[in-house]
Amino acid sequence: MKLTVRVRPGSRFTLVEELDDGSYRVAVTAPPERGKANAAVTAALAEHFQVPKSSVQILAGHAAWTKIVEIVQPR
Amino acid sequence: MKTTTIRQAVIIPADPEQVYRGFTNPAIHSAMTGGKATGHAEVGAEFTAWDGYITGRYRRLEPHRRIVMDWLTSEWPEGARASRLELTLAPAAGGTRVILTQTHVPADQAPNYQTGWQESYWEPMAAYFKAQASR
Repeated sequence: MKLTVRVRPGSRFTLVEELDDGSYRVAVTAPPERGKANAAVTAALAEHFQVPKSSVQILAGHAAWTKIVEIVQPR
Repeated sequence: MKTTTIRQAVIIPADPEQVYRGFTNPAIHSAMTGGKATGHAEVGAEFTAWDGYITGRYRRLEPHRRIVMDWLTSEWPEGARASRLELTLAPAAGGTRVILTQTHVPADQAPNYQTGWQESYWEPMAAYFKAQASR
């Protein structure tokens, strides 16, 4: 499953929001530096979809606010 | 009237009991949000929040786990039914995972409420419980 995710780093809370168009908005407390925000986004989506972090991969947009993320359901 | 559903999941830095009380105890709700809240946690009872901007009625209460309520604001379209707001709470790393599902939200107002949950609830709740924890 591939998701379009708009990320807000540096938030005061962690949020995963599903939008009407099927995309997601994710807020994380981590700052956008040295991959911290990407790691936090991965963790937040893993918890949201109840999958291991290893099942969440950022395919595109590593340094952008909008990312394409793949969620692989564990077998 | 076109309606939509708001779905959000957020981590609040407090345990489920604290978060449950934050939503259902008007004194805590008022302290947490900065807007006056009234009512009491009983199925069928009415409540208000944010100085009367939000009104509603509790439909289901499962202490520290689930809250279901009718929920609307003073900006609601004339004659439109209230939204149905469901909050489920579960322990999670960093506190409590709150899953919000709000159905029958007037579609043209939904962006305001999506932002409103973040600015008027999640942000002040995170600040409130962090301050409580540091006391």
